[in-house]
Amino acid sequence: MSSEHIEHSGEVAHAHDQAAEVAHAWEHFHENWKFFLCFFGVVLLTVITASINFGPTWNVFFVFLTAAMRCGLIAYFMATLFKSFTFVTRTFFFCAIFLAGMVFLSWWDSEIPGIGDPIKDRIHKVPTPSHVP
Amino acid sequence: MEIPYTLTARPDTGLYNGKLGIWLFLASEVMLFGAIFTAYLFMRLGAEDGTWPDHIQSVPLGFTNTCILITSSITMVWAWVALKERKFNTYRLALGLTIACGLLFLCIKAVEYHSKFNHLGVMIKEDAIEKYRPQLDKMNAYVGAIPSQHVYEVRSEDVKSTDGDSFVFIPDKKPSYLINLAGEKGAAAPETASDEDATITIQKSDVERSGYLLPAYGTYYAIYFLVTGLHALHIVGGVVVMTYFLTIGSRMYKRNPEQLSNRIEVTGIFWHFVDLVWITVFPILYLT
Repeated sequence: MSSEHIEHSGEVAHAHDQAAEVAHAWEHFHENWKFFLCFFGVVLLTVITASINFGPTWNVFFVFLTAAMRCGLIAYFMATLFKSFTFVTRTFFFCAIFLAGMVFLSWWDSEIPGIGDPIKDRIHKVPTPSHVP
Repeated sequence: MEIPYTLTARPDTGLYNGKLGIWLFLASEVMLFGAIFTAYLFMRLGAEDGTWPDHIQSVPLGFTNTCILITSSITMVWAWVALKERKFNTYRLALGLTIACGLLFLCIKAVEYHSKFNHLGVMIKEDAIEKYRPQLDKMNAYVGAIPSQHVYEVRSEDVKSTDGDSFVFIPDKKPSYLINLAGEKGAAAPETASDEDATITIQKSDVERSGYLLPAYGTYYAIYFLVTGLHALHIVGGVVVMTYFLTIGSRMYKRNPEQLSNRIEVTGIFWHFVDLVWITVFPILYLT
């Protein structure tokens, strides 16, 4: 039996099942909806965080809240990739990791002495008069 | 001889030829965009104070484009599902909507590019800035300090004149939040009586350098045009391919609808990738 013949046999073994294909396509469609809604949610929360001023007192709270929500959305989808834990455990676990990472990066990007951006720390600082917000 | 595995998956890979090909192609694309994003990261981290602009992009336009691309990804999958269900008219509708979304994205991008082409940046010398400071403050104008270059940057989207020995323009205001719920006083720009009052005249002898916000103006603009331009080219490529499958390529439906659905699925995978690239581009270039 030639290799060509074997390959064609393989194709025959995966015979076309139209009903299963359609069911799979719809399942894929619904997964896509969720996937892109999640992305949309992450982007929307980011835009809200960057565009709305809640005031000096509430900004920190809302920034943290929206960061936690974004992490939760990303974690929700990351969690679907790992099947060996319960869904709630997975989501919380990833949410905690992302949130910790986001808090760390925010600190690192800040100008807090000793914690903030080490590259900026090395540069001689002159306050910029119009750096708003 | 018939080419095997154009319709069904090869048992050992679980993929048909087209899908394997597009994933290999996307692997190369990830390397391409990965290299550019890495370059962005290093340039941003190494940028001197004041040289990396923030709030220069229109967030509403960028966000609208994000919504458009996400919608187009959904309609793309809808087109594929319609083919699987053998609903040709629904397929055409969904694919047509996807193409329309792609074109709308490009139109909005063109508007953004046009505003950059007409957006003037002027670097005023450090020893001359105090001459203009009172008027700039009164106008609530944005003034960005670049200490390492001993200049102050003022930008304008509304240039009146660049002829002669001076620039005449209405300067950009200080960046502010789109929505202010804090109720802080003094944030709003002072009202000006007339257009003449709103313009400022900067002598060219007081200017270190000037230019429109094009790649040559600064590193940020170079990477902005590179990333968004390359992304826009991918959108153009996707639109061309989809237009082919909507017109000449759709003839395959009568002959072999399953093969056409595979082609649409592969196109969809590419389109999702382009969408994901934009979702990365939007926060790093628009929301910083």
